[in-house]
Amino acid sequence: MSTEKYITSSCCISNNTVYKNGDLLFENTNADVAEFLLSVYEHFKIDYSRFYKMDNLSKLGWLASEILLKGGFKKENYPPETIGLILSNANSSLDTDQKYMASVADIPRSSLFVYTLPNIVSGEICIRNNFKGEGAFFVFDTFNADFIENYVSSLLDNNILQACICGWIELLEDEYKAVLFLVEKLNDIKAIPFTKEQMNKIFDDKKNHSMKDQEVYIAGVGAITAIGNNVAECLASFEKECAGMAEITFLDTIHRNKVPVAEVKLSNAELAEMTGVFADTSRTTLLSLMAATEALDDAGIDDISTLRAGFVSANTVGGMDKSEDFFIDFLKDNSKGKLRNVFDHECGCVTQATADQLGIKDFMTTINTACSSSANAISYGARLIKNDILDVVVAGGTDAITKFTLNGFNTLEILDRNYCRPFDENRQGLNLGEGAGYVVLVSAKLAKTLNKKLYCKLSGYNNSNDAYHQTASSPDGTGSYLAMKLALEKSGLLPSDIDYINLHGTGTQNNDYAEGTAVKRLFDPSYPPMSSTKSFTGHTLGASGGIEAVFSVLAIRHGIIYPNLRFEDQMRDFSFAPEKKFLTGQTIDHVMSNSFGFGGNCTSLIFSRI
Amino acid sequence: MALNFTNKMLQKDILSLIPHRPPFVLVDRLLRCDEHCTQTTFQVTDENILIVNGEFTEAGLMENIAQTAAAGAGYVAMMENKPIAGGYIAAVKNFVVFDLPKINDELVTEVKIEEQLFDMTVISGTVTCNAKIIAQCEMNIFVKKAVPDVFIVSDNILSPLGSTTFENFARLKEGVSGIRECHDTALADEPFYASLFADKNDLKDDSIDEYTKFEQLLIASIKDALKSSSIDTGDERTLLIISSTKGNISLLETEKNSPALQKRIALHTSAKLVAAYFGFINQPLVISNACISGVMAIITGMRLIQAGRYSNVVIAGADAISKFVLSGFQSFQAVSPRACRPFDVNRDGITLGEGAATIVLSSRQNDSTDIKVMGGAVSNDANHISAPSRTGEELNYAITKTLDDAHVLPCDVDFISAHGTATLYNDEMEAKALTLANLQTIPVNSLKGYYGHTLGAAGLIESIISIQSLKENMIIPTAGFQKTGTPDPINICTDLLTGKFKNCLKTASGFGGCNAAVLFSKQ
Repeated sequence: MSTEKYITSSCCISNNTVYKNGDLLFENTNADVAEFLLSVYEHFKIDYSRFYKMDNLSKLGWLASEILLKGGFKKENYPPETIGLILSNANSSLDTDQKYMASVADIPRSSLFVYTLPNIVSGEICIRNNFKGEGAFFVFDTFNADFIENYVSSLLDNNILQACICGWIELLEDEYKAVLFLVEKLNDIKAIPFTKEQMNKIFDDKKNHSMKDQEVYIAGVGAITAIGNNVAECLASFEKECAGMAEITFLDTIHRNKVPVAEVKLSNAELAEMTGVFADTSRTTLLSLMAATEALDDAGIDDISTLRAGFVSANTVGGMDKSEDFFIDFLKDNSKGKLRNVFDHECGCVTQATADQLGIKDFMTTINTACSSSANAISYGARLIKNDILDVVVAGGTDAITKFTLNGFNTLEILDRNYCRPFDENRQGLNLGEGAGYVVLVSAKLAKTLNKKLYCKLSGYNNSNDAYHQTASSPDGTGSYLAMKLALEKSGLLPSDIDYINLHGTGTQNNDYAEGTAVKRLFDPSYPPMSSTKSFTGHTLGASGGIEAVFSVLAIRHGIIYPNLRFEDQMRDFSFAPEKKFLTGQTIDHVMSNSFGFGGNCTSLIFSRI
Repeated sequence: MALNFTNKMLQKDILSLIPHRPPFVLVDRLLRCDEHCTQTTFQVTDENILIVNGEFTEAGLMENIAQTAAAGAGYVAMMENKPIAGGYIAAVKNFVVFDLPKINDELVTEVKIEEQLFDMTVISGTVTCNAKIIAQCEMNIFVKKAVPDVFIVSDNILSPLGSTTFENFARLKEGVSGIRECHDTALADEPFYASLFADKNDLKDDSIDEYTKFEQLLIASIKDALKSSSIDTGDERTLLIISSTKGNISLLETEKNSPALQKRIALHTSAKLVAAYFGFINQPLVISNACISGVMAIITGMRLIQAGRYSNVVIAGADAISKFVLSGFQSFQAVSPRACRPFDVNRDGITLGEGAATIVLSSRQNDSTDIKVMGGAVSNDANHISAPSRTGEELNYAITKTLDDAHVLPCDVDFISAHGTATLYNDEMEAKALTLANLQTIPVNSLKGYYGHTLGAAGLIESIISIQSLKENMIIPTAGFQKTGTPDPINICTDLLTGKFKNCLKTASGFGGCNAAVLFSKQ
């Protein structure tokens, strides 16, 4: 039974340099071998007195393993007998054999003799880490990636090992080279597939591969919300702390003057004119077009038709706004009603219409997972790039307020009759919003060719399910907690690395309590600044993940933290409170953005400074 | 597919058609097997383990149906020359039992294959007794992918005790040891005990003069092993594995060091030369894992065959005793001043030995007496690089995993060929490990009293002797042992032991904290 195996870490020590995952960590150009090895030991502040007893081959291999395993490897996840070492070289222990032979002429030194076997280096690594699994040492005249791939793969496939350190540890007099790979069955975001090609790439040039090759960058952003028709206008509203809620203006509904909503301040006619499509296009599509076009223009890609481009867009309402209109006439008389209005009812039509306008032909898909939709669209887009299926993906989502949605949320009794107050002890519910938000995701390879400065990278993402209720979140916020925790793990960051959380923060009793509980579980006692921008834009449903991703990216670019408007009283159950004021001049390196949807679908995205 | 069958074919021992073994065999004979159905007959005897109150239980009926299906599958596999696959009942539907058979009732069971999709076979089965249907059901049977068997089709030992396995085993039966006091100032200033070849010309093969002693040993051993096997070395499905700890290291003593010498010393150079001599077309594999190299090579060879990557693996190991090796062990105070005494209360160190051995593994059986490699495992103590684990639990892990993989219980192991180097700590650790593995009553021997510690060849030489012991049903006693000297007492074999032996466990441990175990079984 074959399973997916990944290189989750690699370390190369050669030519007096130490590389880990393609990054140069240390260099000591003029030292001889012994000095160099000692300087590596000292540089990484390792404290292990056994080191001084080892021969050079063991020092080299042991140091490579220390650096390989540092930071990411969670050995406590594996029983000791399931972690093993499969190592190889060409000269066995000849370096020490020669030294020992020289001592034989005088007094044979047992402290040298003990190192005259190549597998002793494995023993040293096992002792250090308590690895008790299978180990083997092979002698080849050159690194045999094909054999290592097959042998290690079969050990993992047959569950003889669950994790394996493998590679090449060679040292003879002045020449040395250590290249080690950590192979696991996890699909860490940074992991690369365990294949002989990948191993050879890294072996032949430690710089050639970089985990950086796997990174996904954000090259452009676009958004349209109740607080601005484009990114610049939204930012201005944030600064002025000016929310987008108002009385219902555009939607023709019985709830006018009863509940506030956060509508985009443009009519369909105006939107149609700005985007150059028919005036009777669904509002969902119109909003999508506005934001997606802005994002793609922002990315500064010369000619998208030369790239493998995709459009991953989310929405929940599709062309419902038009279908509703049709329905009114049709109900009265089933020979009436403009059938054209239902042509684009389904969610995919919105995506297709926008993709056509953008000129993206290679791939498009629509995601609908309620309020986490466009966050999932972004992580899906990232995976398409990481798996080398596409070079660039415009990802995000859109949703327009419709009678369907308004009435639906009203029956759930989670609408606030006033402007919403996320994370406030006395919050009364959410305000519906509408809009669209997209990011342009690019591969590392494409990123290098762009002239504009990149915004940041998508360093982590995770989707987990609450498994509790169709429309309510579990009291201990399990789904939210897992979404955030595993996104952090995948990004290789700790909770303390997060500089700002853009909360889902809808303002409902249930969400904010569940999300707050999850935040507490993950961050307590040390909380980063956080806020819900839904206090400005309302809850934009399928678009929220995308819109808030844009805000998160901008937070890193501009060093800003958004306020959580109308917050007054801290929730009794928590010891933290959201930010009340718009802050500038902040150092924002890592932002977490949460989107939790009906059906228990919880997603967390992590954006990081490059 | 039309299956032509004759009564003679159907008389084939049912055990050759199904993976089940007594006392859990619930079919006696195959009556019929064709594209329509499979039919078996089974008589309920009073020894049957699924009898309750004189009646054969529902569970027994269900298993009887499953085994009938297995017999049919096995028959087809046999016709297609494929190995018998194991399987599991994945689901049972509409199981109806009308009556329970009594002791001495004869059942006729019929199974029809309804559907086959990937690994799952859907069957319907009916059990009749005295012409009445007494049980029926539908069943989903998950068929495990068949893993090729690994047979030892030929072997050789080249040692001071003889140049063939037969010669070596004969000497051991006579109690002859290769260990004697040696006076060779090229190796050591003072006399020492070791098992060495009488002189450099022991090999008597001038055609390989230009090879080093180490390589000559390998070549001579492989040559003999290949003589009695039909392996084609030029086949791309054949691999050569070399096992050695120090290979040509003695060249450092006799030659001036230079990059060219360093290349010549390298184990992969020796391996390539030996491979070229025999015309192996695949790049040879070299295992250098201290004293477990030999056993490890067998396990690696087994795995490669089971994975379907090769059909035949020729494993050869050797180590020559040089000043390098002898002085090294002496610097540790690890060498006994006399012939070593494994497991003995007065043991005081190892005796070195030289030798070579070859084992040829194949997925195709050569002879019905071929022994099978059933499983093996490797572990690390993670404790010390030159002293063994305090507790023996890591070697126990390797042993237990080996037995689990081979589906053999500790009580079914007939004897153990231990590493038994005769150091204070190794033997103590091994005894601990065997006790942890519930093997403390099983006869154990160590052959180091005859061969000394042959390092890279040890695992192979000692495995071959164990394999021969299985074939001849005779266990060799532990030379050098008189009185138990390990805190955990184990059952040291002190005399030639005859009996009916089926399963033998071989263990090894080495510097670097490594441990290995492998199980050999008679068919």
